[in-house]
Amino acid sequence: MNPLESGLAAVVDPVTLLCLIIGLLVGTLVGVFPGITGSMAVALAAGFTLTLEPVQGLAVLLSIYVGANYGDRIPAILVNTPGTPAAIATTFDGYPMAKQGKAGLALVISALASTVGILVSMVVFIIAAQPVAKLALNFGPPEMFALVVFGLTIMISISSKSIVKGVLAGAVGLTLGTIGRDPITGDQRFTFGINDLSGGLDFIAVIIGLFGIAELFDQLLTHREQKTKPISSLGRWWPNKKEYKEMGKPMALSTGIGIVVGIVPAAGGDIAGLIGWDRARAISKNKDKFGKGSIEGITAADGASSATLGGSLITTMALGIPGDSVMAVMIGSMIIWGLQPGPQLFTNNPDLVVSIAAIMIVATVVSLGISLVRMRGMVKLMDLPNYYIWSAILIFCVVGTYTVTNNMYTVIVMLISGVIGLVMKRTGFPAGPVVLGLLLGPLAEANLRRALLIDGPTIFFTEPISAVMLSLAALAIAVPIIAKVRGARRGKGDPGSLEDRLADRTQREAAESKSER
Amino acid sequence: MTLPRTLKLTGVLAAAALTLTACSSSSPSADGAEEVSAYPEGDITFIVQAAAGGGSDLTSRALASELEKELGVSVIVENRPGASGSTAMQYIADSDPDGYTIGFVPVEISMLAHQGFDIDPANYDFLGQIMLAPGVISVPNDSPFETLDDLVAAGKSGSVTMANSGAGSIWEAAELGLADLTGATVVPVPFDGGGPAVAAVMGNQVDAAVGGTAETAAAHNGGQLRALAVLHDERHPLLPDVETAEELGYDLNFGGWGGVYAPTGLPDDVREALADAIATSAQSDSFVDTITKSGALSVYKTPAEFTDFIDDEYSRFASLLEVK
Amino acid sequence: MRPSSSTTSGRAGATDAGGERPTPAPRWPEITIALTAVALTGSVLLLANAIELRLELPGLTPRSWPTFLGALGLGLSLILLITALVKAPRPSDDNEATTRAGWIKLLLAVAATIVFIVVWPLTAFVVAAPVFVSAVTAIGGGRGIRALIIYPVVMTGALYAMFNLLLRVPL
Repeated sequence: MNPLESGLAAVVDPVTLLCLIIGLLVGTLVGVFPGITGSMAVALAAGFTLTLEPVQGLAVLLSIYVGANYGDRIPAILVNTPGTPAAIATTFDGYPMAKQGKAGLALVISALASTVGILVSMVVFIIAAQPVAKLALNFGPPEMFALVVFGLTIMISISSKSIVKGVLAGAVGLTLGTIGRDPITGDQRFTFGINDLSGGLDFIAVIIGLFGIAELFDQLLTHREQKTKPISSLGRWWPNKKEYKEMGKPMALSTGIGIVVGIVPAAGGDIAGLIGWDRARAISKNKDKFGKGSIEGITAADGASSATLGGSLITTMALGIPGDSVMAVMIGSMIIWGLQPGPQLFTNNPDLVVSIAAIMIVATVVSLGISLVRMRGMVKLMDLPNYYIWSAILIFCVVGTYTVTNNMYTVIVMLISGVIGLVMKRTGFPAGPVVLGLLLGPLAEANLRRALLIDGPTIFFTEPISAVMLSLAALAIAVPIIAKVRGARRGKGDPGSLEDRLADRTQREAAESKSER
Repeated sequence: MTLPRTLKLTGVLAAAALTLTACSSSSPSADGAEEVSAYPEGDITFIVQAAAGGGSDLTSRALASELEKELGVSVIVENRPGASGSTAMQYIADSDPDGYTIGFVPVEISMLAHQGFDIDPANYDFLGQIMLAPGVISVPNDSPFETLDDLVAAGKSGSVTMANSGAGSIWEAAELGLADLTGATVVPVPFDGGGPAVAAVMGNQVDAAVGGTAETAAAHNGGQLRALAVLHDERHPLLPDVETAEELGYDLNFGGWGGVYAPTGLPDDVREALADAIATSAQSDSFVDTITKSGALSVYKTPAEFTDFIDDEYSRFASLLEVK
Repeated sequence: MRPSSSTTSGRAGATDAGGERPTPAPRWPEITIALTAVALTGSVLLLANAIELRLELPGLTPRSWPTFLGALGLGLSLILLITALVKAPRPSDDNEATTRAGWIKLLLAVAATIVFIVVWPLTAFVVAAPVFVSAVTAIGGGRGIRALIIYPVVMTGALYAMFNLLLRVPL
C-alpha cells in the first residue's frame, strides 16, 4: 500500500473516527468555556491518549484543537466573552451583530469562515509544507519585532471613537505587559514584592475580565425589566447572496494572513485574528461598519485565526518547532509515541502525515456540521431569563480562570480587570487596545532587545522582511492621520458629526433588520 | 436527578476524608504502629510548577501514575504555574507536612534565591531525584565553528551570541558557566522557551545555543543544526555521536534535573513510605521509558544524596548568578 | 449597548429612570478622567525609573521600555487633558444610562464574587458554588425553588463533573 492509502485507511478506522468525535465534543466544550484553552485541554487529554495508537491519539488531540477553534467563537458572539484568546477579534463584530438581533447569522458566518480558513491552510500543508516551513526560520527577532510593531498599529483602527483614548488604552496595556520579570535580564518590574506578580498578569484572566465580566457588569448596571432582549431574537441564519459576496474579499485576505502568522512560531490565532480584522478593514469600502457588526469584520477575524491551524501544523510537523502552544504539547505526545516531528517525519512516516491531514480535514467538516446544528440550541439558551445567564457567565468565568493556574490570584486579576473594564466602558476607553498591548507588548520588547543584543540597531532596516513590515507599520499610522487632516481641510471631518451619522446609520440598519424579521 | 445525589455523596465523602486527614495530623504519634500502616489513607496532591503539557508536567504525570500503583491511593496532579515556578514552591512550603501534598521539584529551586526570589531549599524535605535532562551546545548547520574549541576561541577573540530558553533559565546559567570557565565573551540571548531558542540556531540568527536534549537531539539528527557537546559526564543515548564537554576537556555539567519534594517536617514514617514509593516508581520500566523518549535520562538519587546534591547546586549557582 | 434596537428605548428609558442627563454635558467628567490618566501614567514614569537593576548593562535596560511607555502615556494623557479643557464635550454619550437598582445589583454581585473567592478555598467547591450561584441568581432577579435551589445545584454538579471527572482538574 502506498502512504496515501495506508494513511487514509488508518483514519477511516471506526475507533479512530470515534476518537475524533470524542475529541471534537471535548474541544467544543472547552472552547465554549471561557478560560480553558485548547492547549490546556490537549495537554490534559495527552495523559489519556498516550496509551492509544498514535493515529487514534492524534485524532483525539487534533480534533480537540479543531473543536476548540469552533467553540470559542460562540461565547464571543453571544456574550462578548472570547472562549479562548483566538476569539478576541470575533467579539469586535460578532457581539454587535448579536445585539442587532443577528446572532444566528453571525454564528453561521463565523463557522463558515473558520471552515474555509482551516481547509485552505490544510491545502497548503498538503502541497507545500516543507518549502513553506523554511519561511518560519526566517522569522528571527528583528522580523518578529517588525511583525509585532505592525500588529500594534491596529490600536488606531480599533479605537473607533477617540484615537487619543484608544492609543492611551493601548499604552496602558503595554505597561501592564511589563509587569513581572524582565524578558532579558530577569529583573523584577512593578511587582511590588508580590510573588504572584512576578509571573506577570495572566493574559486569559485579563481578556475575560475586560470583555466578558465588564459587559456582564454593564448589563447589571443598566438593567431594566421591560427591555427587550435582542440576542435571543435570532434573525436570519443563512447569509444572502449579497452577504456571501461581501465575505469573499476579506476571506481571501485573512486566510493568507492567518497561514503566514500561523507559520511564524510563537504567533497564533489571537494575533492573526486581530491582524486579519485590521487588514480587512484597511481594504474595505465600508470601514465605518467595522466594529459595529460588520460581516466583513467577523469573516476576516475568524478566517485569519482559523487559518493559523494549518500554518502552525506546517511549522510543527515540517520543522519540529512548535507553531503555537497546542502544538508544543502535541510534539511532546508524538515523541512519546516514537514519532519525531521534523523533516524526517515526511520521509520516515509519510503515511502519518497523510493521516494528520485527513484527521484535520474530517474534523473540520464534522465541526462545521455540528456547529450549524448545535448553534440553534446554544442560542436558545439566550432566551432564558437574564439572571440565569448572568450567574452562569460569572461562575463559568471564575471557575475557568481559576483552572488556568489553580490559584485564586488569577481569579482576582480577572475580577479587577472586570471592574476596570467597566470603568473604561463608562468613560469611553476601548478595551481592545489594552488587550492588544498586553498581548504584543512583551513580544515587542523582548524581540527588540534580542535583536539589539545579537546584531545592533541597523538590523531592522537591512533585513528585508523587517524593513518591509516596519514601512507598512509606518504607513498604517500615517494614512489615517493624513486622511483625517485632509478630511478636516475639506470641512467634513468633524468627528462629532461623523459619529452621529454612524449612529444614525446603525440605528437605521437595526430598524431594517427588525422589519425583515 | 442523579446529579444532586452524587453530589451529596461526594460532599459526604469529602467531609469524611477531611475529618480523617485532620485526625491523623492532629494525633501525630498517639498510636504510632497503626499509623505507619495507615499512610496514605487519602488522595495525594502532586503539585507541578509548570502548566499542563510541558516536560515537568509530563514527568510528573508519569510518576504520579506509578506512585498510585505503589501507594494504592489516587495521586492527583495539580498544575500551579507562574512566577518562574516560585508560586508552586511557595505553595509547597506553606502546606501541611503530612505527606498529602508533595510536588515536582525542578532545578530552579537552587537558582531562584540568587535571582531575587524568596525561595530557600532549607524549607523542603527532598524525597529523591527522578530524572536529569542534560544541556546540549549546538550551532547552526553552516556555522564556521566545527568544535567547541572553535566556539570558545571565537568568544575569546570577540564575542559569541548564544540563545537559551529564557532569562534566569538553567540554560542561561550554562552559558554563563561556559563564559566563567573559559573566559570567553558570551552574550546570552534569552528566548521564550526551548523551542524558539533552538529555532534561532536553525535559522542562523545566533552563533550557538544551549538547549535541552529533547529539542536539540531531534534537530541534530534531522540535520537542521549541529550539536557540539553534551553537558553531562556521559554521552546521551539520543546523541551517541556527540561528545561530552568533559571528553572535550571542559568541566561543564549542566542539566535540568527534577525530583520530588515536600514541606519540611514530614513524620519519619511518612517520609520513608514516600521515599520508598518514589524509588520504586522512578526506576520502573514504564516511567523510565516515558522520560527517556522525551529526552531525559533516568537518574535516581536517594533523599540524602539528593539533598546534598541540591546544596552543591545551590552554592554553585550562587557564585554564577549572583551579581556582586 | 450601542447599535441595537434597544438603543432608542434605552435613551428614552434614561429620562424616566433618573433624569440625570443635563442637556449641555458638563466638562468635569472628561477633566477628571484626563487628570486621573495624567496621575496614573506619571506614576508609571516615576516607578519605571525606580526599577532595581541587578546588573548595569549598556544599551536598553529593563527600565527603558517601561520609561518609554510611561512617557507615551503621559503625553497622551496631557493631550486628553488639554482637549477636555479647551473643547466643548460632545453631548451624546454612547453608554446606556445607569439605574439606582443597577448600581445595587452590581455592587452586590461584586461582593458575592469576592465572598465566593474567599470562602471557596476554606470550604469546598461543592459547598460554596451552589450558594454563590444562588446568590447571583437572586441578585439578578431570580426567584423560586427552580432558580434558587435546583439550578445552582445542577450547575455545580455539571461543573464538578466536567472538571473533576472529565478533565481531571480538581476544583
